[in-house]
Amino acid sequence: MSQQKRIFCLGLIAVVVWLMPVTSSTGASPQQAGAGEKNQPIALPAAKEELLTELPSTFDKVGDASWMFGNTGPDHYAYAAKRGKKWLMVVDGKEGPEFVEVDSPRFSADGQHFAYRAVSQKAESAGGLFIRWKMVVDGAEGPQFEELSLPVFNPDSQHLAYRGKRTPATEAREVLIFDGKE
Amino acid sequence: MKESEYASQVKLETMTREFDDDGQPVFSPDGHHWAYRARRKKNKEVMLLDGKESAEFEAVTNPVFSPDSHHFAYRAKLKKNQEVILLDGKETTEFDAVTKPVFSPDSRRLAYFAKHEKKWHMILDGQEGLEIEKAGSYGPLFSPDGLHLEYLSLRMKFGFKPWEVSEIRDGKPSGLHHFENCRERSASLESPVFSPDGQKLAYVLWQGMRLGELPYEEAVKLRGFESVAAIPNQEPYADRCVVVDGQESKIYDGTLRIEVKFSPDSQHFAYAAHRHKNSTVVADGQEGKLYDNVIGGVFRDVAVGSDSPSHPFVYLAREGRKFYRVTQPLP
Repeated sequence: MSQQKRIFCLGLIAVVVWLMPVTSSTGASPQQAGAGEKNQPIALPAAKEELLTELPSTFDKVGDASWMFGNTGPDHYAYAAKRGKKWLMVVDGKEGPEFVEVDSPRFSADGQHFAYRAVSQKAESAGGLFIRWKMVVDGAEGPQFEELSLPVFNPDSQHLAYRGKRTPATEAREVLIFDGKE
Repeated sequence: MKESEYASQVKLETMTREFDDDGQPVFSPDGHHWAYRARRKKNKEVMLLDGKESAEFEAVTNPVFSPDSHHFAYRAKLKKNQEVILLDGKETTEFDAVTKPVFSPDSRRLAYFAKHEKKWHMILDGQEGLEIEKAGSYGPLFSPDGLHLEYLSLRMKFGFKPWEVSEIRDGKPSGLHHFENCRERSASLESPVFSPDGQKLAYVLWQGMRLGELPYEEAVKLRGFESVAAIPNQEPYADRCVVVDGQESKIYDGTLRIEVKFSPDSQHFAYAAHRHKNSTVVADGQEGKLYDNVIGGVFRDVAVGSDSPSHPFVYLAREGRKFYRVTQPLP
């Protein structure tokens, strides 16, 4: 072997040796490694998957969803579903009334009560967007508003409050709805 | 305006201009009291506590009850743009700006940041204390035992340098973290939370990729980074990166707010994250199965069986048209 070839081979071996620890020890870039890269994470046990429900074929689309996983009693779930041009809320598999839109499903802490916002009317014209909201609490529809805050249950699940805005004649008026009363 | 000046101004505005919040009612922890903000004529606002009106202010926001439900505080904007914290109906010292007040776990102490003559200070029980580096800082945070007061300060280094977060405990540096994954510009910090034993701290780093392209006035009008991310056709929206006990996660999409939860024994953590139009739960730093959507999740605090760990993380997941309850045991 010529002197040049010997130098080339030695150089090649040196490069391979230099590269080896890099390729074998990293394996993943910092972006791929994620949390726990300093301390090797312990493999998680396999998760248990239980089918709660399946969206009926009559629905086209699914939207906002919510759940209530308590430590006692049964679990509850809710999701918004679209059928044709209308949306409705499905709570523990039971369908609610149809609206233009529905969103923000909320269970009370004890899982006994349920509220969500619904758009009862919506139209777009040159004058702007006309929209009317209703709060639906335990299946009962509340009064109509131009704007509506999110529903808030109190910690012991006994009360519900939200804020609504309407324009009666000349001036916008905000009201608090507490347990269904203005 | 230079990029650094712009980012800094956006941050300060984000911290101080939170008077246009949703204004939804809040209940006290015992459920016996409630409060909400109401607008009066001539754009004045009042805070209502159990139906009783406060005096009129230019704006009011951030109503907070103490953990024992015996005290109530909120922020108010006065004329000439001064701001003040009201504690149990009484005005405290006026400042150029204040942040959301925070009660200690034993309900005896109240802390917030206040700006006076262009400097920010920590205010604890009405006394002006430590001067802080405000831009990029999250408000004061009490440790679960109430003995320590912590705040987090995020420094952005422009270019390709990583971010760094300083943890300041009782006025002294207690931790400094540099991040490799979270390294884009226009960063923010949100949702800091202690583990129940107070030994671990988790928070979410947030980066708005397109924020710098918006006109400044438009960006501040949108109430900060999160709203900026919601602007349509601004792909990629933004990224979120989770830090637990100083260790950073992968980068996740900013479309889903991330809330880190600790198990009751503080040994485990989990959160739902969104990436490439899919969702997954990350438990103890490891990703679970990808679903179309994952909705929240809780650590059950009771044993579910003699052969199971006592604190599994349970969440709702959707795959196509199917909804699943997924129970993730933890070692």
